[in-house]
Amino acid sequence: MENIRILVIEDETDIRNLLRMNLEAVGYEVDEAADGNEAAKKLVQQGSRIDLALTDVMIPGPDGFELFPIMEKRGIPCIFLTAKSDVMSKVRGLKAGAEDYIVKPFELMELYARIENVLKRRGKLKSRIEVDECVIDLRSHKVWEEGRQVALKPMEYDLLVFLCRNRNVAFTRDGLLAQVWGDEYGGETRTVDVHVANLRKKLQAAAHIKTIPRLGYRWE
Amino acid sequence: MKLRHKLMILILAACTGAFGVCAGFFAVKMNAFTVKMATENNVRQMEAKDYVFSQMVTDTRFDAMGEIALEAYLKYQFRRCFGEGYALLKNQECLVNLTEFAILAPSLYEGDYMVQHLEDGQTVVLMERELSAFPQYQVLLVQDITDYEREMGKQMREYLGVCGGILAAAAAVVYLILGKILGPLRSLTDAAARLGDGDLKVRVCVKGKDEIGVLAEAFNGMAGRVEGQVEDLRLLLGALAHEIKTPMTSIIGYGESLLRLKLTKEQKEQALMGICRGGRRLERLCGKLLAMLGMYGISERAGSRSAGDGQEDSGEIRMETLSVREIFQEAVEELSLPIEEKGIQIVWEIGGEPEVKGDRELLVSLLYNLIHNSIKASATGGRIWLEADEEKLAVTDEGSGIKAEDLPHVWDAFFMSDKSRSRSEGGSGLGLALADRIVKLHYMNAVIESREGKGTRVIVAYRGRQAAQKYPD
Repeated sequence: MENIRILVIEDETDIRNLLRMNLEAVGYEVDEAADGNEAAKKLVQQGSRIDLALTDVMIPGPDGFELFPIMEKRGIPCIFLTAKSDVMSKVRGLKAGAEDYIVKPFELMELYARIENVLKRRGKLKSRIEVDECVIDLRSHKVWEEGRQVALKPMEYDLLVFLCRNRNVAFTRDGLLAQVWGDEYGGETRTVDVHVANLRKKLQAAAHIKTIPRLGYRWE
Repeated sequence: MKLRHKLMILILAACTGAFGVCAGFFAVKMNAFTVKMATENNVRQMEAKDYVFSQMVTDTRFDAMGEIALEAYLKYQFRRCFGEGYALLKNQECLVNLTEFAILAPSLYEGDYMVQHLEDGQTVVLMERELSAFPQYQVLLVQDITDYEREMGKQMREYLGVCGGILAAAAAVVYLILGKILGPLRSLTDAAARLGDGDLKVRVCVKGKDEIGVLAEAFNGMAGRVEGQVEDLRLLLGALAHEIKTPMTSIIGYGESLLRLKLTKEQKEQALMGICRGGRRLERLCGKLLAMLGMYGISERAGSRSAGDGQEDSGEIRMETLSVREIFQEAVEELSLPIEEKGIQIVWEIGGEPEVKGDRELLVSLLYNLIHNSIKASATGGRIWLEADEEKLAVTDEGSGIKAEDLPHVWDAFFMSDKSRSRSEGGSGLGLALADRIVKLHYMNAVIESREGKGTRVIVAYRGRQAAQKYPD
């Protein structure tokens, strides 16, 4: 995951910095372009090193839609970012071949979820996550620590992977229930606490899961 | 009641009245004519018979006769000469009655002739004449004219029938014509209802130069203006929503980052600064919008002049005579910071001491916006000319200029010729829209001239009501 590189194409400095801050926090590498021309140059020069482009549609120079063919040629998936929430521009963006579409103002979780989905679809997510002595094999759904396999229940495994992937992001218990267990799961927030406690017991690496007062949990 | 029915009833009543009066008039005239013809004929007949009677009795010697013999003789001759239809009277007393009627009260007779309607429905004409040979005797003619009367009635009924037919035909024609004339009114009503329901594209198709055509034209004009204004508002609102989204995104985004992410101290500071900047941008936008809205209200009210600095002293427009030089100086003073930062050189070209009538706050705000725009367009170290004379003032720069195709839009709210550039210069896209509003409130006239890469010149002429007030005589 450390090596995934995202090009942020956005003309508003504040939004660009915000995206950089958010993306770097969860461990993505970030490159920026402030307008269409700079973006085109970066895409052409270092296209092979860019795993995903987060592109504002309305930018000076060639706009997001015009940049799209350059990305497509190099196989760079693209998520459009726009203030326009009308259906027609969404349709246009998706028809053009964009992987996804995010409407401003967006929520942090939405941003992460959409980026992860696109990376998963494109097979760019790594199949192994390593934290300290702990190795998570995403293909076989098995976890090893110091060479020994650790037996985790399915939900414990899902929670571990989710927190690990969204490191440095704090989640409420309700948020975790919705994201990991799914919306249809009618469980109580206590369930989350029980699973976190179990993980902490079974894995030394789970010490990274910190309890944030009045909020929830965060992998740090 | 519908207009069509009202008009129908009115027209038919008028026609019926006219026909009725005509019919009555002709009935009376015809009747009189018939009687006259009959009496004239009778007069001739009576004269002829009277003449024959005179001839018969002249050679007879009456002196030798007694009164009774004479009367008997006259009766005899009367029967011979006059015959059926006549009666002989003496001293209002009937001596011989050869008519089919009983003669009851001869004394009631007067005039040349009389028409009498009998109880059994018959009508008779009575005529009385003296015998020329024996003036003390009278001859009374009684003629039955019932058939004439009957014929007259028949004629009258035929006439009324024809009148009725004509009326019915007229009614049908009038009904159709009214429908044709009033039809456009119905389509106007429908169109107005649809316009009320929000279908702003609706227009009526009515040709013709009559009142209804003019009404339709006025309606179409109104619909067009309403559509235009609603479209303007829609565009303004859309642009506004779009403008609000960016600062909102950074406020929400940074807020959420602070709440959820593990950040370094610098990152936290950066996030807080981002929130502040977003908030300030929203505040600036809001202030300018309020200023515009204030001026959109009653034309005699105005909002704060440059809401960017947060002053909100809205009040009435105060018209006073102002020195153009002073308001220029005030505006430049407010802009001293950006002028200094960019090293802008201000070139003063004010001839004499021109004066203008207007609201001090608003005019300073106008110049502030114009000069601010010039500063934003100018390169570092550029020059800005401030000119004024008795008729107009102008702000000219040698900055980036405006593309020819963008010129018609520059007065629109949120229009920015170069978005990222004006954004980085702190533009909200409302400056010129505000300036436009101020110019219109003062009944002035503003023109913008520009060439891309060469510079821009905005000229404000103080004409119209302004000039009239300035030079009352």
